[in-house]
Amino acid sequence: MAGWSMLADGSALDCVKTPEKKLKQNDFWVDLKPGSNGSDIQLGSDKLRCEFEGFLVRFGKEICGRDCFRPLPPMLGDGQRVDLLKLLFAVRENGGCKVVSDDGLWDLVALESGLLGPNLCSTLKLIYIKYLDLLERWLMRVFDDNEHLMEFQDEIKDFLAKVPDQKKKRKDEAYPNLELEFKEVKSCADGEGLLALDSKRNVEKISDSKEGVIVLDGDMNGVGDEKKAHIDLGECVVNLEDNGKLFDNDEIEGVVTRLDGGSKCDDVVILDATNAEEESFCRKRKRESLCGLLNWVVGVAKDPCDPAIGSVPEWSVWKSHGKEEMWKQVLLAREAIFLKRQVESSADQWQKTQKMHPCMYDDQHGSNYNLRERFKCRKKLLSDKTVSQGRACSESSSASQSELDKNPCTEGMEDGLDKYLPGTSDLSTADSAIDKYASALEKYVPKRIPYGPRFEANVPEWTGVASENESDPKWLGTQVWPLEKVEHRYLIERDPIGKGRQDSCGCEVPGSIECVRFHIAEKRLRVKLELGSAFYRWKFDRMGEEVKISWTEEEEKKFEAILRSTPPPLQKCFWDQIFKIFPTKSRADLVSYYFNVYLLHRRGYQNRVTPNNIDSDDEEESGLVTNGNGHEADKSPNSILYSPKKPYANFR
Amino acid sequence: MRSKDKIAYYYDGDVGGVYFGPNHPMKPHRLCMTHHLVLSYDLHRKMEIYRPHKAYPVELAQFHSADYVEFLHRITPDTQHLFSNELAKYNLGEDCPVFENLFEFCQIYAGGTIDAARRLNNQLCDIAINWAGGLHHAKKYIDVHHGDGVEEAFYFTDRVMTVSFHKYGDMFFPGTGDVKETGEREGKYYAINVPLKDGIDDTSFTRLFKTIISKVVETYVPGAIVLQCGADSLAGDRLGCFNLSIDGHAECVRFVKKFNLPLLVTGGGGYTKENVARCWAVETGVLLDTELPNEIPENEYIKYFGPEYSLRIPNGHIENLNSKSYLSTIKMQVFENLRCIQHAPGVQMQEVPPDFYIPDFDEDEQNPDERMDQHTQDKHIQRDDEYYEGDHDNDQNMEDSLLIKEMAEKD
Repeated sequence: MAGWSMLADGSALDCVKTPEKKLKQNDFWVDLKPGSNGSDIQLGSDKLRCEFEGFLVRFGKEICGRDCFRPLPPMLGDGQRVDLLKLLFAVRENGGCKVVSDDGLWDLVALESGLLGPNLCSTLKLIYIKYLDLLERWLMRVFDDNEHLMEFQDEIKDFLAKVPDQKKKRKDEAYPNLELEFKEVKSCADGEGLLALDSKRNVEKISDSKEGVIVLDGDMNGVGDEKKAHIDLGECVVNLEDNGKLFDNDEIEGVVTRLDGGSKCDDVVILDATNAEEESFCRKRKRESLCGLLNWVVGVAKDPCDPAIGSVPEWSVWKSHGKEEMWKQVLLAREAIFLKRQVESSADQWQKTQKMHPCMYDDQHGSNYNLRERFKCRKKLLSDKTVSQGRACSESSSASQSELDKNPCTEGMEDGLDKYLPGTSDLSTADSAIDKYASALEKYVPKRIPYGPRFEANVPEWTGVASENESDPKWLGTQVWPLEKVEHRYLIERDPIGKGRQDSCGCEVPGSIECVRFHIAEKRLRVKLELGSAFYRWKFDRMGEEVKISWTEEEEKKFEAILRSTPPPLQKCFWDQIFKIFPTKSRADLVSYYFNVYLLHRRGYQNRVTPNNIDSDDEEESGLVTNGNGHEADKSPNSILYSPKKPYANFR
Repeated sequence: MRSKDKIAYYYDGDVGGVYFGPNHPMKPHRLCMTHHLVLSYDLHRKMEIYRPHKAYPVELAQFHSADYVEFLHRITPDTQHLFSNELAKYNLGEDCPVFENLFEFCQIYAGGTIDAARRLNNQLCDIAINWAGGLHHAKKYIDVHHGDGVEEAFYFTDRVMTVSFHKYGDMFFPGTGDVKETGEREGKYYAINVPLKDGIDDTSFTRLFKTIISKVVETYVPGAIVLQCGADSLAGDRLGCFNLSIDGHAECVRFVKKFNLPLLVTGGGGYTKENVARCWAVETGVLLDTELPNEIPENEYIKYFGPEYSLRIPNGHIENLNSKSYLSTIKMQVFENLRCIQHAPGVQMQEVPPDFYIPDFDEDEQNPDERMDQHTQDKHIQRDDEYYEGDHDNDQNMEDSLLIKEMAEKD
């Protein structure tokens, strides 16, 4: 069912854009007459919601003069979608934004808008102010002042006047279309009568439940128990791929386009809102073939055991059947939907409205593609989704099915799922239940980003200027350079800024140890003269090989001997040993000696003697994957020290 | 061309002496090396250098929880065995060891970034640099690792947009930063993640970086930019797995500089310390419009740069697993998310600079230096008259940048 689910998912995303497109096509507001037809529109219906959102977008552009609107539909942190229309009415019925705020009625409004959850007040208020406040103000003006009512303003008024009545009538069923109950599926008229979206959703919903699996398995019920049917199905799909030669590319693409075109034909499931011209073209040419297929699916959904559907043979002989068989078409379509994504990516056609994970588009090696791999990707994508939105319902079910043949433990969980999926549950409950199910299946669950003042940075309002005490220089750092007072009078010969090292010098043996030492000392002196007090403030007097001045030769030898005697990796005990042997020196001094003298020395030696094998850290070659005890540590991937595929050896 | 930028550079002489302990790849000593390299090229004559105030615990607690700050303040290597519960609670231990002067180290690098931001806020400089800052995993910045701490801090707000270019996948630390993580609530679409695979090279990285950052700047119109330049994306880094050259890395800095927005540049990762020093010295040069010759001048640490003693580093050997189609898919996805951002004009969001917390007690004795007026200061700063327009389109890199709508007013 993966393919279907994705379609349905896409349609949900698209419906936001559809009205806007229509508006554009028809130039002005033609679609905004929901009240006039009355009967099939109720407050809270999907269509109306979409249209209202489309209207809002348009409205925003009109009023603000440019693109100033926000993403639609707005979502709460927990993934609930806010129905702006309901919100608008809930607020209006309670006396408007100001009254609601003043009387603290946002909780009530949340309830009336069908939103559940604690502490919604501020969020909802924010959403209202960002999305609807402008509209409310504008409406107030329109209603108060009837001078310049334009045609569409009339319509708005109509629109707004009628809907509340219907709302009252229908108070008990907030989302009649969206929340089609399982039972309704059976009582539905045939597929033609049903909105395509609805039929899809129904199919999808069935497939979520245990019985839903039967949709795909068709008559295999008769063959054996359901579980076996799953397994067969899963394997069969893989089988189809492995024997990909059976279906040549043209054929598959044919199905692709057909499916693509067909889905566009159905008014609600528009995968790509931008392809308006194509759409009308497709409608004429391809509708028929798709209708048959859809009807078949709908039929199966209504009654899996209906003899009219025909029987699906054993999976082992599936590949020998031609595509004139309905069930075969469904399987091909399902596969094609996967393949389509590949085709798109290579053709560089981005389906704007399909939020697919980029891994789906990654280069494929070889002509066969691995559905299982893909499923893994999708599952990951899924669990990503569950974090931000609770609409992963359909996908999770398909992913979980694919997993069944490999993962016996999920069978038990499936039973658990049934509990979550009572036939009459509304969509949101089912969603969240399935989310749980999906996340239980996932090994990889993306970290939930914690929310709230405990975790977030506080970003105070900008008052227009930096606060006064903030400009106090003492909070801006202490200037070290340039020097504040002229500290010396003698002139220093300066190099131009950004001058590099000069390779020629007057030394007897250029590049010799003595030469290098001389030039470093010379530079140091110049720097010291130029920097004056800054030289000391930056602790330059305690850097470089001069650090060893406070060390006796004997101490140096001892230090080196200890390091030599403990081959890398350096152990914590090595430092303990050092600390013990040099009780008079502070730890900081010892560390400083290590970096400023010992390592520099060693590096100098390496530069001269083993220029192809240099490294400036004792730990480096040993790899980072050792712990303090010298054993291979179980570096968890959560460690910053862990770098997969990274050769730890020095490769320069 | 606009008159030369005024650059404030933060450095504290104590920071380089900090030692995380054996076998920890983070070596604050790299900061000393960087500073010496910067000075050896005489770059200090073109900028102001400040010693940051040590951030007070109250300042740190503006973001971090007070008990966490308090604990960091209290813990020492010698007492840590008494606090195993707390260590576990705060995720201290092997990766984040307790070392001597741990708290002071935090105070210095955090103080540097805070001071730098204040200086920008007060329009006292155009660009502020704090190579010690940019450590970005603590909860509540161009680096091979995902800036999860920073992203998390601003995940729910539209007033700071976070953009992170990082290695993602293979369970690479910290395991977050999928392109799908785009922020939530008010912050939906205001967190951008650009997950990359092993071995990305200059050409593809700079192209992607420029494309995405220009789009971000165009869409979000930030009031200021924080650019975190972790050097662990360089080829040959001990932990990283990208193939960027220093030129590529610096090209990204150059690119961001060209927006002429208040710019706060910080360090970050970078675990092969001589390469970190090279990279940040070159980038300091870029910010000062000064191209550095390849031959490193003499300095105390020149031996670290042998045997070639040059700025260039060897090419990486890691296979580039980022296919063109993968990168373009990522790009399209990011653009798609950016399209969802449309600013309401004049309402709600808009200007947003943060008020930093100022401790209300006096610490004058700690900062006794008197200030000269700005005019006198300027005279001390030598400026050369050469411009390096820098259209080196050879390479690229960077790890993440935060575009902060709020800090400082727009130009």
